[in-house]
Amino acid sequence: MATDKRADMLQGTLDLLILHALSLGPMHGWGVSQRILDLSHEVLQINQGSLYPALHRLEYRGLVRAQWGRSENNRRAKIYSLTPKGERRLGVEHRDWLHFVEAMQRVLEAVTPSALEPKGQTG
Amino acid sequence: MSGLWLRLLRLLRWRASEREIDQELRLHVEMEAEKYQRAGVDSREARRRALLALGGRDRWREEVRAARGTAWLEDGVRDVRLAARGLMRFPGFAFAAISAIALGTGATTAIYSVVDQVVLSPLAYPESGELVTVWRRNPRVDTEEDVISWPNFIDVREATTTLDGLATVLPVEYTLTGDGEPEEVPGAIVSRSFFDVVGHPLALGRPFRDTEVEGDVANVVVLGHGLFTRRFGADPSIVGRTITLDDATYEVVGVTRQGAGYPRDAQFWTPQAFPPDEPLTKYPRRRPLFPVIGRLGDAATLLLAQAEMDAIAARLDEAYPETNRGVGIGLEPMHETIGGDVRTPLLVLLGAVIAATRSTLGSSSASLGRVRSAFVAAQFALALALLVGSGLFMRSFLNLRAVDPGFEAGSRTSRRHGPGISTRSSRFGWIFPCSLARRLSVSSSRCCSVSCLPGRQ
Repeated sequence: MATDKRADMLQGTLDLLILHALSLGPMHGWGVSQRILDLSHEVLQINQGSLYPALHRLEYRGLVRAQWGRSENNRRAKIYSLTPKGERRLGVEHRDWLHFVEAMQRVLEAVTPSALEPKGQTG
Repeated sequence: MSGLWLRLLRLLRWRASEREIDQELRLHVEMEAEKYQRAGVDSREARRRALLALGGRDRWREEVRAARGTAWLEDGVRDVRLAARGLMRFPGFAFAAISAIALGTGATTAIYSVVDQVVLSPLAYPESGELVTVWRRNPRVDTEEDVISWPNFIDVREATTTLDGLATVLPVEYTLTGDGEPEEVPGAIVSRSFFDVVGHPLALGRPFRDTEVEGDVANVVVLGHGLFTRRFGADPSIVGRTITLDDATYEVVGVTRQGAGYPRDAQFWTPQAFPPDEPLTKYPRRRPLFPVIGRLGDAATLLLAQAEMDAIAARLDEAYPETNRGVGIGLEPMHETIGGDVRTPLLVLLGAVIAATRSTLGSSSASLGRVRSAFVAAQFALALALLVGSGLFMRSFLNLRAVDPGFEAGSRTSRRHGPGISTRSSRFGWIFPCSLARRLSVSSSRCCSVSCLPGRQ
């Protein structure tokens, strides 16, 4: 089943992924999920049941804008794009994510608790 | 566009918005299916996989709505429409239920307005909480009477320190003649201190003068506001003019404020004559004649005043054993006296009407509702079988229970016995969804678990 491939995602990362996918260019819902799947080399399969609620939530919060247009195969499609507010939000969330990854990295790379010792003694 | 505007706009174009969600969904499924087809899957299988990947359509739609922030209003609108449609489909049921509610509400309102008048609305006198009525306990027949003999009244009035004033109030009914039709008008003959005790509730004129109550009592009258308005056209110049009561001429000296009446229906007050030289022959101590009211003094409580009354009664008992042996004097807050006779029956009546309304509603719609349950249960079964979102399911259920108290889904009994046992109330509620769901290839255990505790799977 397709969803089996989906990597478990941290809460909040879905919004970040969508915002980033849209920062690469306006796209309809299916295209967003496809873009994320391609960019993650088929690792991040967005649960389609959460994709559209997330898109509508982001639209409601003014981070993305939706307009009816044409899909690449000329079908009527709802095309989402990033708003300036969404771009700013993407910046903030991206930075927060890097901090998070960095912190995770530090924890996981540590092999002994010695890294803490100098700090603990002086402080 | 700001969130609020977006929400408002969406509410205005609700249908269009629903359609757009469906369009978006359709496009998604098509594109997903095409992707599978490009990978070599045949078109039917591709579409099946695409739909599968999307999950329950209704639940998906619900979540999108929730995300848009208009869910509560849209749900409300839909629930009302659902209820209205349900009622329209069973017009007889709707008529019976609505009539029962209307009749019950009418009856309750009518009784309540009486209760409000008699029991709940405070007396229209200044600090009416201080007003008390004085009772005489009659040892001979072991009853209480609201009348006191004139000599006893005078003795109590002289002795008391806890009551600020005492007044006699003798209800009468006189025939008012003059302009217009003759009519029987309730009123009261009151002692000089009456208007002091009730706190001078006069809108016009003055209370009685001492000279008007001593010796040959003057024919003066204070009119109630109701009579003043109804019979004399609220003309202030009535003060100083004369009216005819029981063929005697009375000078109008004052008019009370609106709502100020004691006894409650009294429409006029005339002074009580008290000839000092012959009290014991005309008003003997053994003959209790006068209802008496009083006002608690500033420092007094009802308990304190009652203790004093007990002491006074004991002294009178000792002084006049022939007439006062065992006679007690009791005090009661006036608002209790006024409502007293009808207070309990009225409240019981009000309770009964409310209860009757409730049970009429309950029983009529319960029996009707039981019939309806069969139909509704079938609807639920269908919804279950289609695995709609639990939110929709729960709301429909609660919504139905709210508009239709007679509806029974039997969820309580079924939780105890399981779906195999059908009790009277659970019969329709359970056999239908389960059998229907089974027919639609949903296992019965699932049907029950979803029904008992709807949750997202």
